[in-house]
Amino acid sequence: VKHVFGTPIVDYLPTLGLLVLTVVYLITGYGYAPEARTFPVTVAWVAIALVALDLLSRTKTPAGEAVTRWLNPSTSAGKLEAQTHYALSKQIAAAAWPLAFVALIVLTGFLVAVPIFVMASMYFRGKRSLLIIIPVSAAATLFIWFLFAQVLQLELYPGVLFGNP
Amino acid sequence: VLAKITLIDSSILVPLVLSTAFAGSYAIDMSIENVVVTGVFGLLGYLMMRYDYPRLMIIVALVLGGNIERNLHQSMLMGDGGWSVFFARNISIFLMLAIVALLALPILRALFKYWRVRTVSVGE
Repeated sequence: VKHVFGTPIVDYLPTLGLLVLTVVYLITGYGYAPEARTFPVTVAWVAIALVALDLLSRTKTPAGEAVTRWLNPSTSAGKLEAQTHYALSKQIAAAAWPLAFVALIVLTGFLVAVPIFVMASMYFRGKRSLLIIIPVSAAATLFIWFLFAQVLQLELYPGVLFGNP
Repeated sequence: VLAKITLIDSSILVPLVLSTAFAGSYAIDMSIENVVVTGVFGLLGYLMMRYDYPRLMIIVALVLGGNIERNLHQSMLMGDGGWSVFFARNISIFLMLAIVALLALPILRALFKYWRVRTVSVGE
């Protein structure tokens, strides 16, 4: 892995992503009327200063270590290095499961998406047997239906595929 | 009894909690957009945990941001668009100084610790 100032280049990516978002936010803020842009522009400039400090603190330079020591001592002394590092595929999977669930809810609605998600999650991630998966997913769906549709008298979202246009 | 929920294995608990959370976010105003926003903020929270950013600050910003913006506009209107309104009275100057002191506190604490260590090592 390529290093810049002693830090793997991949460790800069979140901060650089934040910097891009902040600059976009700042440019958008300057597009507002003068009286309306005071708050967003102030927030954006403060955020740029903080992102710059974050970027500096990630370097293994004397300045970066000084910034970490003075402003965020809890992350210094190798504490970040001591954290558990998970494989990238596991991290992507951890983020993808909830997003896939959201997509499933939008497409099929709660009463179809909940049992499918609970079953799939317990089967593929939990490696559980069907004897546990089926009653738990049925109970989860029943609980959601009973709480929201019966007790709270709400119409649960039916989904794009099954809902009336 | 409710505390025993925490003893349930995470492979069972996580899908149940996610299902209830998404259904709850939909129930706020019967809007599927809320579910999408919940998913996006879940992803944001995960990334913040992964890259060691504090999550508390974003909660404070989301809860108080609207109020702060409204009150800032009111104050700016009272001050004819100038920032001097924030330094016009003793109480506002005191609050500004308190904010600066709070922001400088970690630096001062680190400097104090550095000087103390240096004094001890020079003394030895």
